[in-house]
Amino acid sequence: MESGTPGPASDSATHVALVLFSAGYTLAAIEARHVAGLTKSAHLSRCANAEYLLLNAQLLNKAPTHWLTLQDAQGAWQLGVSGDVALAHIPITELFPLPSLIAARHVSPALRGLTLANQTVRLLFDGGALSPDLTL
Amino acid sequence: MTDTHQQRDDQPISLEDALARQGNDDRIIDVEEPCQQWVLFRLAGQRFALPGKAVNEILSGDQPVYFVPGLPASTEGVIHLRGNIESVVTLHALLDLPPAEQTGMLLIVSAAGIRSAVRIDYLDDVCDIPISALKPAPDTLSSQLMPYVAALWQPEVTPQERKCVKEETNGGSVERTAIVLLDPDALFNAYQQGLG
Repeated sequence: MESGTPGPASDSATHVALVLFSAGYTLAAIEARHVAGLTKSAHLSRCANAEYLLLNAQLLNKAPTHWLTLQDAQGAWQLGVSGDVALAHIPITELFPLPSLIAARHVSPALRGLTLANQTVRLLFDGGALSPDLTL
Repeated sequence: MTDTHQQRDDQPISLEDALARQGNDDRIIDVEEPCQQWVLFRLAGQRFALPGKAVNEILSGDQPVYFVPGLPASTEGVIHLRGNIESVVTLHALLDLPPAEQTGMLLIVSAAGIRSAVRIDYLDDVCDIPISALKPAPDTLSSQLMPYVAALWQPEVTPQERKCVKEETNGGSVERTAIVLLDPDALFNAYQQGLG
């Protein structure tokens, strides 16, 4: 599972470029076209921790180690993520749409699908549907 | 019974009359009574069923379930089934039952335009039930359960079963609890709306 290759190779018709990261102990990813930048620290006034924004975690397990720059209607903002951040081209055959009941009950309305990586789920979020102002 | 067959009680019936009476019996016995297939199972020791037409598959309960953070406890996660991902839900919370402690089995259920695995504690049977044997849910049923009940079915106890149970209970009374036949559309619609 998740046999995607890092770097710019791969056929864009059969692979999707994703930015892989962790939200606390949860593996997550956002489509690379939504990520405008990556920094080690937050420098924008609008920012949010991925563990809180994506999973509604009330107690944060890990402090952000990287900040992804994303865009919403109000402009640029930063998403604090933990763990290694990597660009990977994942074959579309390894991307699973979200089952209806999962979509209906998950805390984040931006969750779109998932992959299975080494017997672990990686959650795929729509970077265009995220906003630091989003209330779960 | 026709007038010609009516006899006084004190007169014995002749063979001729008896045969004529049997021959004129024009009642039609429907030997192929309409039936519905139901999958019978248990949750928290109680007996339930889902319509066979809604159950696509029955799987062993030890399938690896991948945990998905950010979901209520009634959603265990997902299973990877022949290249597809299916959600795995439990009905205990929705039906106000204590949580399960065993892996049981998984039913792949399609209803309300949704497909999901549903964990059950124990699979009893898959059987055809005559539609005429289905009873409406009584008003005494719990209000938590009522919205999801399609009907009740009280299985008949065969003489063989009665004998076995009598032996097991040392001649005690034979009692068979009614099976709650669930409406899968109502279950999935409620679950989707955030109940359970």
